[in-house]
Amino acid sequence: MQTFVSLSRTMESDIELMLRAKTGDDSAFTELMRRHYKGVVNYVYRFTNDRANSEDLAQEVFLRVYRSVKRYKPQAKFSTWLYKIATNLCITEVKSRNKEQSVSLDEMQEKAGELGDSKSEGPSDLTLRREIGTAIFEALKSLPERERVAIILCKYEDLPYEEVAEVIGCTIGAVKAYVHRGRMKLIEKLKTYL
Amino acid sequence: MECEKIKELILHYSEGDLNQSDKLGVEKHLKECKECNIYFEQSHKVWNLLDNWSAVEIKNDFLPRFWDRVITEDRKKGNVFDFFRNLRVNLISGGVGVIILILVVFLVNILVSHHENIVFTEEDRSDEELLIEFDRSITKETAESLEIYGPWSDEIEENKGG
Repeated sequence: MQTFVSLSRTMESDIELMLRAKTGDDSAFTELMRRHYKGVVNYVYRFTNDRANSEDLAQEVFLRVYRSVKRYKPQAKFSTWLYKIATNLCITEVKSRNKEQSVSLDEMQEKAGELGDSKSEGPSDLTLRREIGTAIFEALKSLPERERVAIILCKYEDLPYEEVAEVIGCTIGAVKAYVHRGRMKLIEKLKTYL
Repeated sequence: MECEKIKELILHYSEGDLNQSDKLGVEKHLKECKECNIYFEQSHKVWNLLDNWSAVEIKNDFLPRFWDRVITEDRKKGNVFDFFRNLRVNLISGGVGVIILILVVFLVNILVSHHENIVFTEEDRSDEELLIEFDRSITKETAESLEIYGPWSDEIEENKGG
């Protein structure tokens, strides 16, 4: 019986879990975090290029979701809602960082450079990957906000165009256009690595 | 088709979103146009290049850390909201406290002033005697200056006696 209950629980959709969380069931929210935490951490990381603080920001995203769980209406996919909150938080964070300009270029390169498995790679491979990582971040950073969000969500989070459209608040056609334009600009900016 | 139009269609072509005629048009153009062919290749390459920016690994303790954070924030919020919720009670009890404090200070002040030991020195005594003497001399002078209006005190004494 217990096995059946746990099996049916694993098959619960995000919306079902959110509805349970809405009634005060924290175990449902824990399950949602298990499913989406890694994605959100990486999404934040692509935005900020700050490995050390990505988890803190991701926790802040989930805290906001948790605080607003009572207002949740199952109209859209949970992940759409989650990434919408994450996007808003990331944009605010990036803007405040730009104002502060507290992170120096060296520091950013240091943070961006922690790429891949350093144990299995030689120093030259690691340096190259660090360099490419920083270049990708800088190239993405230079894109207009919507193009940047569209590319990160499509490329790194594997979100379908429909969902990206809901996160950004535009049509599917517009998302495709953002990705296309962003891609064209990235070709120019990352030419040396192609 | 023009190159700009082809560049726009390349993404849709890669996604398999084009209808048959557009698809054939793009393929034909790519075979003929070197520039667009390079763009098509680069578009793929740049998309694949993005994979070189690897993901971060998450820490295993993210769940306990999250719930600890929730509890900590709840406590902080609870303290602030409790204060506002009990604002009326807090104000009344604060007012009563202040009144009691004022009364205590007042009573202590009275008691202390009553129990104060005033020590008269010899100098104080001579000063006091001097003041009494001064007062008497003034009284005497005043009485003498008033005599022109008649012996008031004697008359009263006589009336009483009569």
